[in-house]
Parts: sequence; structure tokens; C-alpha cells
Amino acid sequence: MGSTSTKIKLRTSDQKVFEVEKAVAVQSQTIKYIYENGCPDSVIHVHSVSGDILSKILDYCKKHVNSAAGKEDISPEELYEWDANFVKVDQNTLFDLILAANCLKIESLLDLTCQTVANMIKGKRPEEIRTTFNIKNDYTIEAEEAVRRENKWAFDMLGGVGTMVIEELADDTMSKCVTNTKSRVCVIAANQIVMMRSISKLANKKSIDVYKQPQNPTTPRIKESVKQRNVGTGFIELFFHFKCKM
Amino acid sequence: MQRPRFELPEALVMEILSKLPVKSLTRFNCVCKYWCSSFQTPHFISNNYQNNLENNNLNLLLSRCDGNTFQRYFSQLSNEKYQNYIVKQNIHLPFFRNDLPSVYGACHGLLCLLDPLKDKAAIWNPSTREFKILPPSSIQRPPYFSPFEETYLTLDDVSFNDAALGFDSKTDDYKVIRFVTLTFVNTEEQYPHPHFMYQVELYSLRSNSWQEIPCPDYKPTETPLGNNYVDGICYWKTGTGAYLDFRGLILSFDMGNEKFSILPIPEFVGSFPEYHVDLLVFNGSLGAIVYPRERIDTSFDLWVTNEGVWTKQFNIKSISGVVHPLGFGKNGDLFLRDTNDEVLLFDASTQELKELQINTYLDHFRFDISLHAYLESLVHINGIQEIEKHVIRQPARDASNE
Repeated sequence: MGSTSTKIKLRTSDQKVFEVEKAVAVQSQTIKYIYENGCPDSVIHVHSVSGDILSKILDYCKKHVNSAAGKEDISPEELYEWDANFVKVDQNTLFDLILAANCLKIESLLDLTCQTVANMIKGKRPEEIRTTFNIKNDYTIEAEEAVRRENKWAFDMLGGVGTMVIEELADDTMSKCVTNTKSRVCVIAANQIVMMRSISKLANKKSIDVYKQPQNPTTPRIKESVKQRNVGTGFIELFFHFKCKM
Repeated sequence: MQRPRFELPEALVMEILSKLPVKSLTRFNCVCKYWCSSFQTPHFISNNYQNNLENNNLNLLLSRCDGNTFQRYFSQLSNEKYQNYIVKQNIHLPFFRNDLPSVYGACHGLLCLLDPLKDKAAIWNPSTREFKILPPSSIQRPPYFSPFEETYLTLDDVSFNDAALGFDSKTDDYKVIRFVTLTFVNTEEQYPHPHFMYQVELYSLRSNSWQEIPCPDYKPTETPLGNNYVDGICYWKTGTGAYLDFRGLILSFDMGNEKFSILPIPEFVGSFPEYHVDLLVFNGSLGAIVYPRERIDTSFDLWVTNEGVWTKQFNIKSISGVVHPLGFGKNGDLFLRDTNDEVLLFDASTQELKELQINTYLDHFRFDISLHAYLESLVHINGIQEIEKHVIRQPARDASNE
């Protein structure tokens, strides 16, 4: 009787107060527990969540409650789309959402946000992962090489194996580098496949052709747009186990 | 990605990582020692598997026979529907060389490959690429005394025909059960006729050894489509009676208490000989695809059984030119074999029959094609990483590696 229009007050870590419908708020198992076991009239403190984050979370809860209750005419596919847009935020916000979903015990949101991060990192190299999670590499060089060798197949990205010397590109453009058995070199920089013409021309290379990443990265001969890009002039040596097919 | 403003607590990092595909986790073994050891813990392996189960991260293998070499190999089909299930890679098994191994499973993402003619078997995790060769059984073959001929007969052949791979949750052990057919003959006879005897062998991964268990009264007559293990129990088709008295039955084996049972198949599901009743596992339950024999223009009923109660899940109206179902892929799509022995797909969402570009016309034994689905899994089996002597993977010409 009017329980769906009961409001609950939530105070965040930065002293913002939100008044929300009970049905929305109790999507959080933590809030539900406090509400059912504490004083239903006073304000519930959500200490570890900021106003901005809680606001977003309440949007999520509201959307899901309304969709489940049939208050909003939204198909499962549309809800899925809405969720996908919901998590299109910067990394820090995403991490904040994960922490908050965990502390507020909102399982579906925790699943969604964790899966989003998982999808973002699944294609990354170990070095990039260490940066993302602030992890210190405690392997010795030999030990790490051994682990890489044991799991060689998981590092196969395109075709062709080896070490090579290439021109150093600017930090944020250089991601991966592969060689193949022929004299062509394929460099992947910032999700674009950058194909160089031949190794013999490397030393003097001032510009390289850029190929837009095709659907099928093993056939870089698919060109969508070709641009010239200037590169730096230093040399770097890279060790990667990639396979390259060209 | 950038350096974060703060660090996520370890439990949440592990929560994120448990949602990664096995290939990524294998690569991330070298991020740090702690991650490498965490990925091996039963807790993490179980969380990761649970995640794969919930998201139905199914991989499909088509078991076929090469038309030139007559060797068994697998075509791994793409998971993406929009790619029309094209072949991503072909997996050859030099370990089995000239024999045609049967495939059993999957159980927790593991498959069992069993040679029907030799005592040669392996458990395989195709996701982690771990391959475990099982030891030979060294179980004594009993002597066979023929009272009629008043002599002991000679053991002429040993074959391993029906098997299953399953999990015993009580002992946290993976087990393989296989039926052994012993053929005895009287070598003194000019045209010796065979006498058969049966044994049942059970392998335990924990003990890495085989033991003999009592043989049930009914022997399997056929193995279900795809997977024949679900929820701690393995299943085969069996039967009783002869000719018009024949009744199809289900033989089950409980991996936990290691006991056999018989389950009836109700007449209303499909009676012999009018209908084929092909057992399979569907959405976590034992079920059957029932379709009429002797008709090209067939409709398929999917039945599922739970605790003895059989319910019809759905019906696929008549599809002409289809001979046999091969099994289900993702989202209820049904793979079928047609009169030309080509592989077709019945798309559950559009209710349309689609041709797949799998090109089986060059294969040998095309009637013997089978489909096996396994979930991504990190489960360890005390094996070794795939080596060329045992498993060779070849990307298909147009496929990409993700």
C-alpha cells in the first residue's frame, strides 16, 4: 500500500542528499538491509560513494526497476543498449562505479561494470595491464621470458615471429610491432595497422602508410584510407612473439 | 588506458579478471607472480567457468574425416552468428594417427578423445591447450571358456566403443568410463564365429589409473549427440527386446556413486521403429530430438526430461532434405546434416534453414560428422601444453585471430 511511493533519503560522502523511491534504492542490498533493520525514517549514509557516482547509480537502478516493473516500455535489447551506453565513461568513473556497486551490493551493476573493464583489457599486452592496475612486475627477466614462452600461443596476434629494430614512433602511437618472413613489416599503432614498405628502407623511413584497421586484421592489404604520417628518428628494439600473415 | 587515480582492491580486480577469455588470462600470467598463481586457484577457475556458463561462451567443434588422408580432424567454427559459423581453424590430431578417435564431453570445458580400436585415450582442454594422455588400462582380460566347444577361446579383438567423460563433485575428480567389447573366437574353426564378452573400465584423473567396475545388464547401443554428460551423470541409449518388441531405454551412470541405472523412454515421446529418438543434453538437462524415420520431409521435436517427467520444449516444422540433427549451437540454433551430407543450420531466431560454407563434400565418412560444443574453461588436467606430435592447429584461410 503505497510502498512503491515510499521515499528513502541517502547522504553521500560529499554531503549531498538524494531522495529516491524505495523500490529504486533497495536495488542495493546494502541499503535494503539498513532500511529494513535500521530506522526507516532517518537518512541512510552511503559513506564511500560520492554524489556524482550515486546519481549515476540511481539512474541505473531506476531504469532497471522501471523496466522490470513494466513501467517503461523497453525491450531486453533496448535495455542492453542502454546499459552499454551507461558504461561509456572514463576509466576513473568506471572504477568508481565498480567500487560503489560492490559496496552497495548491486550485483547486476557490478557484473556490468566488471565485464566492461574485462572487455576493455582483454586484448591488451601485459605491460599495459600493469599500468592500468598499478601492478609491480615481480618476475625476473628470465622468469618472465619463461612464462611467455610457455604460453606463447596466447601472444599470437597476427602472423610472423621475431625481434626487430624499427624506427621509434611517438610514445602514444607505438603499441605493437611484428615482422614476417618476407621483408615487409607491420606495425600496429593505436589500433591502426601501419604497414611499412620494406625493412631495408626502415633506417631512412620518414613516413609510413597508415591502413585503417580492417575487420580482419590478418589481411592488412585491405586499405580503407591511406595517409602519410611522419615518424621519429630513434631506433628501438622490440621483443614480441606475434604471428604475421601477409 | 591510463594509470588509475587509485587502485581497485584485489578482490574486485580478480572479479574483473574472472570475466576474461582464457587466452587473455593465459597472456596475463606474466603480469605478476601473484596473478599467475591466482589464476590456478579452484576459486578463480570456478568463477571463470561460472561466468562462461552464464554468458554461454560456447565453442563449436565439427568432427570430420579428411578426404585425402582419412584422418580425423576438427573444424573449429566461429562463434559469431554474423560470420555464419565459418571455420576458424582446423585441429589435427597426430596423436591418433591412423585411427578415428571418438569424442566425449564436454565436461567443464574438457573433452575426452578415445580410440575405439586401441587402448589410447586423452583428456583435452582446448581452451588452455592442455593435453593429458591417459595411461593404458592394464586391466586383465578374462578367459572365455566355451562349454559347447569344450575349449578356451582366443581373444581376437578388444574394442572401446561407448564412453563418457564426467565429474565427481564429491571427490573433485574427473573420470572417464568406457565399455570394452572383447571378441573371442575358436581358432581351430575354419570359419570361426565370434563370442562377445564385455567389461567396463573407469579412469580417475586423481589417481591417473583405470579400474574395472561391474558390467551392467544393458550395454549402450548408441552414444548421444554431442555431449552425454550432465550434472554428475552420463547417459547412453540402450534397449531391450527384439524386433517389434524393441523398446528404447536410457542407460545412466552416476559418476559419484559409480552406479548404473535404467530409465525408460515413454511411448509418447517416440516409439520404435517409427521415430528416431536421438539423446542429447539441452540447456543443462537430458533431452532428445525425436523425428520420424524413413522420411525426408521431417519435423523435429525437442523433448527434455527432468526427474522422469518428459516435456516437449518445441517443435521445428518440416524441413525437407534434412537427414539427421547434429546438435545445438548457441541460442538454440540447430545444426543438421542433409541428404547430400552437407552441414546446414536451422536458425532459431529467423526460423530459416541456412547453408553453411563448411564444404564437407571433400570429406571421407561424411555420414559420420558430429558436432561437439565446449565452454571456455581454465580447468587443469595435469597434462602438457599441446605439441605438434599430438595436436596441430591450422588457421583456416580467411579466418582472423582475436
